[in-house]
Amino acid sequence: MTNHLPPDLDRLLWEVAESQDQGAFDDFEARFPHLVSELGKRIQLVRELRDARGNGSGRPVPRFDRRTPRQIGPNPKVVATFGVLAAACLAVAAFTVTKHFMASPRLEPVPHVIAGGPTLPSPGIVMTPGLGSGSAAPPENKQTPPQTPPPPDQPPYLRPQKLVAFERTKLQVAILAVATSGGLQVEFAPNMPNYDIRMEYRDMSALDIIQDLGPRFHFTAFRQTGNQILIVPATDPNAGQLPAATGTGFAAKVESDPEPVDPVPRRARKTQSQSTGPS
Amino acid sequence: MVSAVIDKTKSIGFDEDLLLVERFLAGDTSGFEALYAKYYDKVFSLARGVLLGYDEAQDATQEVFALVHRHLHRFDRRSRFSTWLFRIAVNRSIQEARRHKHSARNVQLSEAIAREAPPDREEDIDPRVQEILSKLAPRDRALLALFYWDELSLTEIAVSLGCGVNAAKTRLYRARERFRALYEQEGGR
Repeated sequence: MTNHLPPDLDRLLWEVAESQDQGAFDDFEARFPHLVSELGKRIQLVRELRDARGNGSGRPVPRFDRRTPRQIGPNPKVVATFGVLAAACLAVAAFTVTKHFMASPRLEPVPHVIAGGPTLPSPGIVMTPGLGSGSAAPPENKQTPPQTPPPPDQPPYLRPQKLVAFERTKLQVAILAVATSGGLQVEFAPNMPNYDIRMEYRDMSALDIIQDLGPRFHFTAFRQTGNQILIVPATDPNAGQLPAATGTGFAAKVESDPEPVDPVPRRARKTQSQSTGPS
Repeated sequence: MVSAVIDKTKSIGFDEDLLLVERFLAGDTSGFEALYAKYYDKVFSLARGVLLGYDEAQDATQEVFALVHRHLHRFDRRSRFSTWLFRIAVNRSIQEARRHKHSARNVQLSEAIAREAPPDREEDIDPRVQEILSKLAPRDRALLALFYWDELSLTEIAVSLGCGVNAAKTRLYRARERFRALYEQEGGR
């Protein structure tokens, strides 16, 4: 029945029931005689609800206990779970960022120098010093061109290297490695390309190798004072014919497909005389 | 100092509790003891209405007064002390009720049996009303306790709940209607 009462009348019923005023009861009964039973129910409900309080605490007021208020917050298990998850996310993020920063300037593998290695390790480098160094034995299973002893006062960058090979490395790293083996100091001009290359040179000096690499990879090695060379990323139109060199070798870019661009080994020009090194 | 306190309270009507607050903040612990003695029963009733259990209510009441004792210096005197106190009591009791609801799920069987038969005490709530109240949300129970047991006005309830008077009126009406629906169901058994 009360479900059909208008809200205003419903509220009025509550107010009268809560008023505990006999005059208000009588007045309501006179105006709404059909709601007398409903009013009676509500008066009963309000009375029971009020009386349910009982006697308050029912005991003397206890002494104030100056305790530290207990912390009521989120469930500690929930906090712990979220904490662990947050820590895990943080760890993953830190790992990813660190990995990214460590990977971006990719460190080139330091070439290993193997004296007298008969075969090429893969990947890697074999650099065999020439006879001038006196520490390498020629590979037994390979045909090597006849060697002519270099003059005793020849600088190391002019002494032929028995074998210099990189299977896959950056151009600049290869140049540096070759230069270092010949005691050369290299300086790169800006915008120097840095392809992945492979190369293999036999019986050629460090300087010859670097100058041979120039036309292949579009740079020019300018000889500076003493043992210093400057690598400029442009080919010198006035360079003309490459100076003569002993030995053989080839070099090529390594693309995503590791096939070399110029797979045909280049036969290095034979020198007319050993003393006419590049200048 | 007293005149300054009275000036502050002119806009909200004189609140003699402020004198006790000032006494306590000035270092006189008897000020707090007087407030405690004055409001213990009301806070206990509210906590009892929300938590239903006697011991839980007593514990929560001590917690409320411990909070008040600790943070009384934060009371900004924009409202009466009693409504500030009831606001703390409502929030704390509702938090405790939620905590008990979660912990009740993990109660051991032996504990549950022990709780089934509490000793008869004259201060216990009428079991029928208690059962109905237990089916209401803690906030509804808080409203009914504030209105029927602590006999606060709608304005005081509104301040205690942190809402407007009309919102308090509507919430009280709904809580009462929910109680009535359950009451009639229980009566129809």
